[in-house]
Amino acid sequence: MTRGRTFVFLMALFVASGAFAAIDFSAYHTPEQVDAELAALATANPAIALRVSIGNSVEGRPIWALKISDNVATDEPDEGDVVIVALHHAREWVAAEAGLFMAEYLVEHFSDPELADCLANLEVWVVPVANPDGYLHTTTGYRYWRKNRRDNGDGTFGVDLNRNYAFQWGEGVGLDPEGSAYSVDDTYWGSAAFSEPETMALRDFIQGLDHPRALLSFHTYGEIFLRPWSYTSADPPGESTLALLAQDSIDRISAVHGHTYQETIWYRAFGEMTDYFWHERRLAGFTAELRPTGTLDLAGFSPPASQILPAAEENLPAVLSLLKDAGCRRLWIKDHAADSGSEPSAVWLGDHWSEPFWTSPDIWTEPEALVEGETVTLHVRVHNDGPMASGALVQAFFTDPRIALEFPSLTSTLIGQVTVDLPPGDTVVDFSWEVPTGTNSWGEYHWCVGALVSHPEDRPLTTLIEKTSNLGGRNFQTVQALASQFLAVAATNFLGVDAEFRVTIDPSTLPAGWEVVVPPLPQRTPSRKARLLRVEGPVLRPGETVMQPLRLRIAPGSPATTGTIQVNGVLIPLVPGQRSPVGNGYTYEVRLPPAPAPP
Amino acid sequence: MRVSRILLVGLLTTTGCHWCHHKPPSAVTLEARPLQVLEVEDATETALLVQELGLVPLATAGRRVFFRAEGDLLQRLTALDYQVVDTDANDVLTRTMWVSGPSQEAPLHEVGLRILRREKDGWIVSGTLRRLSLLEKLGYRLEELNGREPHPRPILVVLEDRRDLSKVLAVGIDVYAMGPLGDRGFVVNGGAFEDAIDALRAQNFAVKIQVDPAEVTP
Repeated sequence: MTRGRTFVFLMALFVASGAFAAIDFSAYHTPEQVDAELAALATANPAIALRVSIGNSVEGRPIWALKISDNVATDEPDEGDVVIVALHHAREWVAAEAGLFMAEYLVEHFSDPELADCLANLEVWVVPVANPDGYLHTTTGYRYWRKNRRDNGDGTFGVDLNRNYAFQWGEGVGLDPEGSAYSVDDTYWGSAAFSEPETMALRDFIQGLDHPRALLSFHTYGEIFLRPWSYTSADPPGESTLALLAQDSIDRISAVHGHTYQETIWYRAFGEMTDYFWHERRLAGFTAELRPTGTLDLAGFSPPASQILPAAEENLPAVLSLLKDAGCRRLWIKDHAADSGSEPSAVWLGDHWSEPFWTSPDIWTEPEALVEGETVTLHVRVHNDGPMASGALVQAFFTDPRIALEFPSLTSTLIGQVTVDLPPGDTVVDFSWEVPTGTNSWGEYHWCVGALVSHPEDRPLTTLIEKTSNLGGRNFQTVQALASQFLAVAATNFLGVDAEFRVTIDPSTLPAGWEVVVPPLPQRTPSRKARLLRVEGPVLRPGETVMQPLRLRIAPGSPATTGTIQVNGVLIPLVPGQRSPVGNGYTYEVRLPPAPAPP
Repeated sequence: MRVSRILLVGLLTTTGCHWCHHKPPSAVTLEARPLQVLEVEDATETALLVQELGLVPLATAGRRVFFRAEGDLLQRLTALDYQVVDTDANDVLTRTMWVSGPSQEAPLHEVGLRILRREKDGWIVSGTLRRLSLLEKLGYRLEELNGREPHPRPILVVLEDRRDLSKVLAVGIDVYAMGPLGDRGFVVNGGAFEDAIDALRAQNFAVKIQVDPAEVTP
């Protein structure tokens, strides 16, 4: 057992003893008591806890979040965000208790040495009750109410909040349990995606965070730890990353009280929260269906209060592990020369990326010049800021250049993987790579390589290079590229929605007298979504690829030299709410040969 | 005394007349105004219409979004090349109502209503305004629910073959839990309205209605 695991295990035992708990979890709280406990935590710990409303329910009740962070009253834009949300479904009381438990634990243990380092880099948000109206209704009306309390205007009430998110909304057969078109049903998906103020509040809140890194949603019941996708049994992009995180969480949960959560459920769910955020943002989100297990009836939603603490305790190590992954950088690979391991390593500034995160100096080849079909040694340097990391997994992939780059992905090819012990400091791991023959799918002599490091104490939470320090990327050209002088940017819309496509050139890297022109792409009729959002540039359909040619103009008389052209590419999805760009860039090396001698 | 007698007779006459001949007002008011409908590509487009134009969807059916074009919404939609057409609201808008009257259930099915709950003194049904109106014309009494919100019945379905699970899920039940039942098959605990229970029984699944939890206040 590693030191970190030991710590988490001991913490769980400590919690089990109830030694720290000021909040009484021996009985269910009323909705008013949950609010009051959250307020009391903030009042008693004003330096690190702040209660904020992230919006109002359909009946006007505030949806409270407890923000837990150092300098809690200040937004620290360089810190990552982790969101724990509970009680989308009103009758799932244990979920709200678990949310409250996590809030109290993190406040009480904020300064614990092993936790403090991670929390210092994070803003943690706990929303114990996403559905306050429904929750209240379970105490004053019907105990087993599931939905919110939307008056549907047809004699029925309620929308299932966890069928109301925009991804895959309204798909499927339109019946319980995967999402129903009938307002009377328990999984009614609403009149439109994000029709409900509760889901819109959560969407806008999470999209408005500086750097959301992980999302955990508590539900009951069944003892299941779910990852995207919920709407299909097909693998999502980055399945191995998500599967690793989920399985590790299940192992940690099991280690506390011996309850081994399942990882799949027997039915699909459309319009579900974690699907939406993985699809939209590559934000790792998990759904924990808490205690009890077994094929119970409605009683499963109201287990004895004695189950509250064990349910929360056993999920605590999974929460802490996610926080460590999100807040404590230990193993990392540079994305660019100036990268110090921060997440994100670059941000879109409106017309270019702040740093070229596709130029990792920790990924290089020997020999340096790549010739198609030849085998080279691919070096990957991994930095370890912590103690010995035994059994770390280092993987290398290559893929066509694309916007955006993600590893692993459905389109990347594994070059190799090794399990190594990484001592403190730097370690170089070598792979043998046969440089692909010919051009990539777009006709270019251009490849992107990604290197990924993961360890049980430090795992990547996303597949996008710039958003996780566990991942580095670099674009390579073969020598044939230098000979061809063919310049273009190929972009594939890997998002599942229409996306605006922009290409810009950073002129600062160009030699004097050089200019790169980005000719407009052929005009096409703008889609209605583009017109609704007043987007004027080219829009790519999901899965569509476009080749954007670039024209290099070199002033007559310019000296022979080799220059670099830094191309910034970005996709901005056409979605409601905040539109978060994802992208990539290419750094082309271009050689201007000496002018031929006059005859 | 004479005046009082006259007044009493008058009152009785009035009451008696009301009691004997008054036809209660219809509980189903048909909509005179049409709805507007347009087609979208997907849910994201609907959400953008809501966000950017303030369109309020009243119902959706596949790619079709039903709404009322208030103010300048119609012009703005037309400017964006949406084909907006009118449609009869009575075939779109639904209500969930209490039905009593004749004891025969068959007309409810024939009219095309969804039967949610069978109660000892009536039914809770849902359907379009037109279908509900048709039922009313057949002599059934329709009332608003007035707080009597229908809840699915808790049911237990035991399957001998797990491969039948897809058939069970296809009828529309809210699943609470499911899993193997030792070596005796597979069990599904869930909530279902009468129409789903009927559909399960029609396929010869053994459906056990569990105790319906009372409205519980902790």
